[in-house]
Parts: sequence; structure tokens; C-alpha cells
Amino acid sequence: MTNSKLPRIHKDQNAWIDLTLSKAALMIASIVIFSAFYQLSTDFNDLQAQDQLDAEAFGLKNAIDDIGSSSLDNIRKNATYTFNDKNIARAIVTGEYVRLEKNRNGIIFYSVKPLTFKTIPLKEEDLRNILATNFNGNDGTEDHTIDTNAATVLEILSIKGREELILNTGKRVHIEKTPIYIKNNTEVNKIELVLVYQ
Amino acid sequence: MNLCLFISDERAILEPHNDIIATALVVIGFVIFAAVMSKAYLTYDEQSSSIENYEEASRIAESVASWEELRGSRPDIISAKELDLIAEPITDAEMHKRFFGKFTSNNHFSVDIRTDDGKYHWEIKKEEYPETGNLIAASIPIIIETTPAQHITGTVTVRTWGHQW
Repeated sequence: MTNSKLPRIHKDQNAWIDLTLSKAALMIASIVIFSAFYQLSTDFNDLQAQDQLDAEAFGLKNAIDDIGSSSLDNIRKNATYTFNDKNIARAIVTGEYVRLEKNRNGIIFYSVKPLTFKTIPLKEEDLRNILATNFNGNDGTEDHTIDTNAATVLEILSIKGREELILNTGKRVHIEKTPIYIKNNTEVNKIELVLVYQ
Repeated sequence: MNLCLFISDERAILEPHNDIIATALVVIGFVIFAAVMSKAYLTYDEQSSSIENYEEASRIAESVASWEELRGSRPDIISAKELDLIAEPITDAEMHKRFFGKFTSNNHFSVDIRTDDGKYHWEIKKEEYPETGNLIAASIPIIIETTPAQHITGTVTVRTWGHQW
């Protein structure tokens, strides 16, 4: 039965099998191409979401570093930053970096931007309290200079700088620059710090 | 003559191959499109990263030029005498510490200050870090006070490298 049919297929001049096979191949190829298009567009959407998060993190880093690079004599010693993207799941600032997290379709996106200038995630009041506790009541203001070297002060501040401050993305972030006056023998110098708080 | 034969050929030998050619063209087109888009994205990503690093180097340069402790007789002038204290070889370690205390510890950079006439050159660096990775440099013009009577134009060049985030 089978052997008798096979020569007939070979001799068939209507090309139905060719046509069916080619159409089937075309359908499979179309499915593959469409799924590749879909995958590509999904990947580009993910990249776009990552870029948006990077832009937001860069915006916050820029705002902090702009204040950090300004001179203390400058009129603009403080600034505020408002998040444009309200869908950020988590925003963290430490003395070393800014880190933002976003959740999109079950995928978590991260963006980390290193800070350039020495930053402490504290209010000025809290900073002065910490300094006063560590240096016999001297809080590093012009009237209460700290009698030590820069290394000691920087070491204490770097411990505080490692702590993470979780930011509320619906609220403004306050950024300001403040000096810490230190006295080494008779010479009074200052260390400049950027404070970030809400 | 040949074209006429080709059109009037009813054996349908070419019919299935037309589909294959059309499919192949779509696949090639898609691959080229995907490759061009990926290349464009990678170029954009690389350039935006370089711009970010350049902005950072530029900010550090501005901060160095405006640091109060380096000021000469006027606010916009840098004192060569003060530069001598923190440039290599370091003579005032405490001032050198205060200088780098302004920046976070994850920054790897060195500062080159030179006069335009090439007579004076200072190099300020934190530690002996090898200059690896993406090296970016930014320069800004400054005026250097070599003596109270002599002011020379020069540049501050900041080189940053080695961010691994």
C-alpha cells in the first residue's frame, strides 16, 4: 500500500506537497520572527526602564556633587532635589553612593552612582551632636573648633557615612554644604562636608 | 524570449523558492535591524558613561581651583607656595589629608597643575594607584601666583580612572 503510493507522490506534478511544506515552513519562520521581534521590543523596554532609573540616579548624584563642588563663599550652599520618577521602589543614599531600585514586571532594576564629594546622610543638627559627643562638647562650628587633626575627624565621619539613609521619593531631598572647623596647634582649618537629609 | 518562458512556465518549480527567498530577506532584514539597534545602544551607553566621568573630572578640577587653602593674594589665584606643600613630594601631610578629605574614598584621581610656559609643574595624588580602566581627563585654566609680583597662567588637569560599579 505504502510502496504503491510513494511513486505516485514522486510523479505528482501538482506540487501540493511542495506548496504545503513551504507554507508550513513560512508559518514557522513567521512565528520565530514575530517572537524575536517581541523579545527585542521587551528587551528595549527593559533597557529604557534601566536608562530612566540611571537618569534619575544621575540627577540626584549631580545635585549632591554640584553642592559639593561649590565654594563655601558661594551664595548657593544648599539645594533641594525632587524625584521625577514616582515609581522608584527604594532610594538609598550613603556617604559613598546613591542607589535606586525599581520593580517592573517582576524584574528588579538597580542603579548605583558613586558620589564625588564627602557626603554624610545626616541633618546638620545631628552632625553637630555627634561631633560634640566625640570631641568634649566641641561641635566643629567656628566658635567651638575641634582640637584634633583632620584624620581623626574624617575617620569618625566615615563611620557615619557608611550608614544608609532610605529616602522617601515623594518628599524633597535637602542637600547642603557645611564646614567643620578644626584646630591643629594654633592653625584653624576646615573640612567641607555635604549633608543629605529629608 | 527567456523572460516570456519564465513567466509562462506552469510547472511551479519556482513557487516554493519564492517563499524561501522572501523569508530569507525578512530574516536578514531583522538581523541587520537588531544589530544596528544594539550597536547604537552600546555606543550611546559608552558615550553617556564617558560624559558622566568627564563631568566628574571637571567638577573635581573646579573644586581644586576654588579651594580656599590654595588661594593666593586674590580669590581667583592659586598660590604656588601652597601647592608646594601638598604636591609630590608632600611637605604638609595634614593639608594633603584635608585636600583629599573633601572627596569620597572611592574616587581615584590625580591632579596635574602646570604653568603654560612649562617652567612649573605640580602633581597631587592620593596613593600609588595604578591608572587602570577608563581614563578620563578634564582641564580648566587658572592663574598661578609664583611670587607676589609674578602671576602666570596655567591649567589644572584632573585624571580619573577605575570606577567599577
